[in-house]
Amino acid sequence: MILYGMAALKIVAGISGAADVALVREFIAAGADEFFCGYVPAAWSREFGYEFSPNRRYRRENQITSRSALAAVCGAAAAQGRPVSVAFNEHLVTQRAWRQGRLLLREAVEAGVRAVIVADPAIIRVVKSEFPSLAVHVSGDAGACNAASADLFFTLGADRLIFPRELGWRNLKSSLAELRGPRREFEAFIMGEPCVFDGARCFTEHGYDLGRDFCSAHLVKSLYRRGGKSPECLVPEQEKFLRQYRTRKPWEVGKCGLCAIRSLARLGVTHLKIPGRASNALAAVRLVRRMVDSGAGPVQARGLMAVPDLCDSRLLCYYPESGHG
Amino acid sequence: MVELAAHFASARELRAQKRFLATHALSDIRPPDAFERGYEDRGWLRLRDALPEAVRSRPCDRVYLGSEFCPQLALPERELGAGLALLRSRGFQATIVLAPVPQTRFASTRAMLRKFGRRGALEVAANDWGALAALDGWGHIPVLGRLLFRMKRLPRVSQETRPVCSGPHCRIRLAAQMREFSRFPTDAPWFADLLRGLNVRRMDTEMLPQGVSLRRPAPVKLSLFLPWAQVTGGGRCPVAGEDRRGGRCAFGCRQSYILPRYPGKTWPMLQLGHTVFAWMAARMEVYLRQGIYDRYILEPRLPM
Repeated sequence: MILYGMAALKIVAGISGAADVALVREFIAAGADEFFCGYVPAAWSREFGYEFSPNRRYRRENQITSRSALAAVCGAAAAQGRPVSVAFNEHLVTQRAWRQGRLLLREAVEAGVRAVIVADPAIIRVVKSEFPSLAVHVSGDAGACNAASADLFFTLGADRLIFPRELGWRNLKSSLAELRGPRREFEAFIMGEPCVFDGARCFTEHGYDLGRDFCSAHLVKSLYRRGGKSPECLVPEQEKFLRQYRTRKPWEVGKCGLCAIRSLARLGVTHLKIPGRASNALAAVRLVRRMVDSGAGPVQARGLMAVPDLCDSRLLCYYPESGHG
Repeated sequence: MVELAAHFASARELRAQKRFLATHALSDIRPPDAFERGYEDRGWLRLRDALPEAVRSRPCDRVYLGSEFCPQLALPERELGAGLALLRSRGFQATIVLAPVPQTRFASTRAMLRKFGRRGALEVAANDWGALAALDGWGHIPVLGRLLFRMKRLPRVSQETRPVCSGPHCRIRLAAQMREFSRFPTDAPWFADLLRGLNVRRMDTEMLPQGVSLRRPAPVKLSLFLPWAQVTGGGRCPVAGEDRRGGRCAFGCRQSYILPRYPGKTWPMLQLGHTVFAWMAARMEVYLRQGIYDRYILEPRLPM
């Protein structure tokens, strides 16, 4: 039976490859209810390296790389009743990748992992049949932009749907109106550093030339008029936006949905996601925990954030279309 | 026999192709308005001339209508109806292209397709899993759109060009990585099963820098877009201002384009709105020789 409502909301925090028992405890003290992580065992990295990844993290430092480290993280979390999920959310799972993936998941289960996050709908049934004890969470990168997509994933065996980062408030609301039901969990992004692109639509490679991925290295340098000579057709607002887009580093443009928490709970969202690579994840967990525990609304959220100009611009909003009153 | 199709974003663009609509000849497709520094106009002419004579001389009897890259570009019912009527009157087959359909437009999209499908099943390229799963039940012919063809696009990597690479593990594992990055999705039995389960008849695919390799015949027919491949997209659109204007889009992608600077890239790239494309014509010959596609979809202008 799934409980709905603000008090029942769980906070899911991503942890990096450097996670250890102390960090897990710190996250739990800050208010995290669940964890997710990347795991690349030696057998995988020997065969494929890190750039061909099982989980859309493409560098060694983003992955837990030993079974003992994973077991330590799971043990520390389980000691306080917190489950850990492992990400296996590449868009496609090839046969050879599954040969290693199967071993990876077996080790993860033995280490204490309770759920797997997937993005390839085709692999859900395979995972379910080989690892019946693992819950399957559908990654935001699967791109479930409507209730029919979600229904497909649930029919294939998913237990939880993570809504895509870019879904927006109106679509999330109307999807949940169609989907809410027993034994279905829904997770929504609440805070963290987004990419300038959408994970469901991004097919570019990462990890080569360390530190310079497309999303962080590509610069919107020149804007030309399509069918013309110059950017003179741009309205002033576009020019202003483009200037901001150029000058801000993408990783500085974090996103926030604090003021929507109460509304998300009312709609039927059961879990709030704080992405794993966010450098400010611990602070984010504390903020979200404070909101959840106090049952606070948008006014208090603005106060907590203390950046009224950014709140007014809505540039950093996960759910900018609604006032969430 | 390979079928030729041309892709247009709107009925307005289609109507501008008067000669092509009359003759069905590729040579009569009017290139986009000349750019000073753009790719598309030169690109189309180069692509057309590079096609083998046996392909180039064939009539182009099918049109893909619509844009898959942004829900804001979805064709309104009236425009789609006008486009389909025009194509029917000129003897073309049509494939409707859907962008990922947001939940708020799902019911209206279903109603629109039902209306236009009264004369018979429509071929529809879906670009989200929900629409793809629903199409068969709606009585249409489901095509897996290019946004669901989710192999990696590697603008810094190809069979000929090694990636910029600084870690020793990267050099050592590169061959294995390239091999896996080029594996075609339908080689995995679970992916083939999913396509069968959804009654998908065709996959629309793109040219990828690393190439594609199939170990076994695909369970569905395969199409190939020429000459562009989508590399990445979505997220915040730098020229639409959508999320700053309460949902109203200024359609900046139709007026402007961006040349992304990307250290180490090996392929010319172009960004329209929030979508980044790689110009893949250089690999075209390899793909045409593979003989696994029964439809080429040509894009005189990127469908935005």
